Amino acid sequence: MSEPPTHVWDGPTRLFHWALASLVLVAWLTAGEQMNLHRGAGYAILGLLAFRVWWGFAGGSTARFSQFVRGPSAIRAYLSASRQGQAPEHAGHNPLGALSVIALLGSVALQAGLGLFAIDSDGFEGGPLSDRIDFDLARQIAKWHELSFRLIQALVVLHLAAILYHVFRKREDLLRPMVTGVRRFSGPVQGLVRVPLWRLAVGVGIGLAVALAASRGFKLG
Amino acid sequence: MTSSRRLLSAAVCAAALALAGGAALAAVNAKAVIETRESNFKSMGKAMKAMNEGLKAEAPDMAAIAANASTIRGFAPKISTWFPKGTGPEAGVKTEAKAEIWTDPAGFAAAASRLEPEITKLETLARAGDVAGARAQFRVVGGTCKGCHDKFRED
Repeated sequence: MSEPPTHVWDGPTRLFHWALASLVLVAWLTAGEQMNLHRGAGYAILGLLAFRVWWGFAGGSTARFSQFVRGPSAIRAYLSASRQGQAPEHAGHNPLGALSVIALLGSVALQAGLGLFAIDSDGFEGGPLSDRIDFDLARQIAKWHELSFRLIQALVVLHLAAILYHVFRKREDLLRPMVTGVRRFSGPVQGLVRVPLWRLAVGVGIGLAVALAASRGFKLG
Repeated sequence: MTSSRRLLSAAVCAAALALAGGAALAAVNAKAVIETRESNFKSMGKAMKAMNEGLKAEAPDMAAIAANASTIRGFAPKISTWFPKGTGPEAGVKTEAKAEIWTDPAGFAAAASRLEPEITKLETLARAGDVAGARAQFRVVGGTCKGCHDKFRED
């Protein structure tokens, strides 16, 4: 490998990734027990997701959805090239990995969304929007909230398995770049194109506003 | 067949039918018992939710709080009667009651009996219009629900 390291992931994207993973873990461990912490993790997750959506449209190039969400024909092309060991080197998510990104973001969003309305069997610990619906519906949503976590678990296992496959079978450096932001490619690769800092400020503002609003049950008064 | 053999086989048939019928009846009864107690617990859960939300208001409607507390107080002393033998996980009917209810009857009776004095206290505080007191006591009531459920109800 003779090329200097290429910048792949910007700071906000990396921070988002590890913060989300940590908060999902916290939410999992506190479920049903330390409910204040559980709800807090949920609000933070909603804020992070809101930031990520903004960043996916306005952030660094490799974080943009338009960059990696490419559609079925791109996925097919990537897979057949990959099978022949000819997938071109690329900074950012490949078209197949894009599905994983969307699925993980979507399933975590669903989980947090359901949690807003859920209540426990004692009618004692409820999400901030559980007061807008009746007990029976909130209980039903609580059951879906438990079920949809199984989906997240399955997707996380798949995500980890895919990373391990890429790292050990295909000898692609994937873990370190998500920490340091840089990766060594064997040839020249179009690297990350950053965006001005004000866009990060806007994103952080959006995230904080969403997290705060969620914690208040989206009530304005 | 001789008449004594006929009598014996008739008696065996009757006994078998009685046993099968008894088992079927017990299964039907378990289902009814389980459904009734689940409905009662849901009523208590609804009342808890209503009080939780009511107490969050700036100026809670204490009459409504008292009424919900009264609903729960009606059920509280009867809880331990809702779990006759044969209505646990072995009944073959879906239930969230854990086997511990019947293997640790003293523990279950103690946990179940903690609700009545606490919900009575809450109702009294609500009728007296003591908002701060009711808010604090509501959390105590929630704790007694959890205390029993942590040990005796499936997650």
